[in-house]
Amino acid sequence: MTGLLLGTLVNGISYGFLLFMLSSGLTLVYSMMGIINFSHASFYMLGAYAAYALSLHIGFWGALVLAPVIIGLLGAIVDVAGLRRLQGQGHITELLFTFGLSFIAVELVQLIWGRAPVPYAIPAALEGALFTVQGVTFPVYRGLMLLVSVLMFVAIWLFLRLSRTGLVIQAALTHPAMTQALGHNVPRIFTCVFSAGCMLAALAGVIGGNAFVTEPGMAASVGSIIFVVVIIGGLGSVPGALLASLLIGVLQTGAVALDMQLGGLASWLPEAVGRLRIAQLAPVLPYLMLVLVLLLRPQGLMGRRAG
Amino acid sequence: MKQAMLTWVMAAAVLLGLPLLFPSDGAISLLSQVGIWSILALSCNLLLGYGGMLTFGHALYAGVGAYAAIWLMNSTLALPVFLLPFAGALAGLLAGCVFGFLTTRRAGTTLAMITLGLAELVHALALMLPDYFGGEGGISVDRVMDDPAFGWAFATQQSVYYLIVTWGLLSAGVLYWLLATPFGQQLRAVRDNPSRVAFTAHDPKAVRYLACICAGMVAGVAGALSAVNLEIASAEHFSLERSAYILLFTYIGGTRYFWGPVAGATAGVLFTSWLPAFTSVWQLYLGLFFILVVTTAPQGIAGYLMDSIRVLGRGTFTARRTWIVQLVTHGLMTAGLVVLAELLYRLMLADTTEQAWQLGVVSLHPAGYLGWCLGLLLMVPALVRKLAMPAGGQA
Repeated sequence: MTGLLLGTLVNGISYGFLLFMLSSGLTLVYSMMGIINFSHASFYMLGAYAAYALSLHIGFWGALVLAPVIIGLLGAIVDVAGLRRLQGQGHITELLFTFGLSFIAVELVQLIWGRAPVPYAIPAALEGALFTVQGVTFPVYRGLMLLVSVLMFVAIWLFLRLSRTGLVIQAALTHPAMTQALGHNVPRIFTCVFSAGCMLAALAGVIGGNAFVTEPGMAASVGSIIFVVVIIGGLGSVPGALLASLLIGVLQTGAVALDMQLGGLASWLPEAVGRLRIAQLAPVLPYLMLVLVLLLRPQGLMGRRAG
Repeated sequence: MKQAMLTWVMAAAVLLGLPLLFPSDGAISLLSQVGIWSILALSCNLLLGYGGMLTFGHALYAGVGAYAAIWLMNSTLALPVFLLPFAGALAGLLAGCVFGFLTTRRAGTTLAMITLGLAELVHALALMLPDYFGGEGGISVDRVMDDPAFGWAFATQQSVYYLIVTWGLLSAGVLYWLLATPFGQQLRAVRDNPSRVAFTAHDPKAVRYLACICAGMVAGVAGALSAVNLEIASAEHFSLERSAYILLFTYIGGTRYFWGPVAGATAGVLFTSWLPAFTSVWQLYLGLFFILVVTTAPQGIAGYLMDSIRVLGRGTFTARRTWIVQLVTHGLMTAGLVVLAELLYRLMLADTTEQAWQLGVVSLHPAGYLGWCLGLLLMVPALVRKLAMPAGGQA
């Protein structure tokens, strides 16, 4: 039982950190620019595909560094060519623009790499178990995922809190006109932030693409869950996103591990509902949590602003 | 007022007359689709265009309406088919009461994400309970009853089309009336300045909630109509893809005009149901078209048409010339982009046997230079015009 509990906890935390990697860029861009980037998951997908294409030539480690940089540049182009021109037309227009982008990204990926999954695999050096505790194995690759995402969180946190650039970014968020008047190039700061958000998504793609499957549907499969994460955590709050990611990760893996029928817990349920196993409920749990949070704490776990 | 009545009568006459103009079965089923999506887009526009509420879960209400109709058709209650949309409306209204309560507490982009999450919740639940929702395969029904009320059996596609038109006009009428009431004015005020509305002792949340309920009701009608039309409802009715299409069509059509969503639904159904017969990359075209509308013509098709009528009818000579030149150059550029996209798609095809793109008598092969040069050449006029324009000039 302790083995099961430990395994669930460890797996849940590592899944939670992947969710965090995905949602941190989204919440970062929102907190800086007020833009909900609907194509965020598409940049995750593009990151995975770019890493696949690069790893054929320069290996996994090269791709780990280069793919996020390339996708970050792509994000900068999107901001300069698209989002910057839409400024002043309201955030809904920007959201719709990124929504359209997500359509195009899927089509382009299918055009170039086809509709079937691509064989983007974990490098041989990272296969195998890192350690085994009470019969629960913990793969090396999970360790790498965990390491990268923890490093990422610390880096974002320190960068925003301690660096001078982070200070200017925070100032540009609340008082863009004043920051500009002080001689800072606010549009350029925004471009950098958007690009950094895309880079984070791409990094998650490089790491997540081979842990799961790299296919054209991968953006849609995580697309809505990352929005749930950022709402539960509180829009624009990076620590909130971390908390929500971990909560959802542990809850979902925990539910999958529980092999119990709902009817066994509550006999009054109708037969069709009672027959469901708790494991089957796992995909719904984050959304149920979303509803609960919206009812009890509409601003999210660590959010401040009311909409 | 008189003019508005005249417009409605004319619209009804055109809609009822369309099957005489396009009598083929394929055309009438396409028209039925346009009708259903028009109702969906109109109801979505009550939220998007008039209430400023971006919703990513509008298919939810339509799905609830569709399932209400399907369950009623399968039940022992022999409700006449032409009353099923009414049941759908009630179901949609109920769904609006439940889900609207959760979504409309926030506004703007937050609301958009909440609607997305709720739609995903219902979609996942529907897949999980195949006993009620039929899962992936869905539940099928037979709409033709043994003993139909008034002898209206709805056995032909044409009769279903007339049912859709009737309920569509009714729904549009209800929405139009709603927007003319003080509530409609309040809704616009909430869109433009919610805090000022709050200071006039009206609760913006309550206004948004009520709008959401009304939109859910109309979407429920569309859902029930689609269940009657296709004789099936599946969990796919709740999918994010459907919600996304509703939003796309509404926005493409133009949110600032009442009839804009109908134009958008027409264009959208042509994109999703008619274009795939000719090209495999239709989704790319739909996405690009949407981006084009968002970035260059936020008033949508309706706004573009109205501007065209204004400029060509009453504009100066220069304005008209500019307008026509722009239309031609942009049209040529679009054609060039299409040529390039089609060639690229064929170049990437694994199967080399059907690589050539047959265009009437012309055959373009991705390996040859001809097609690529043609595609690039078609884009030249628009680029020249763009470069010749003084900096900061309106494109």
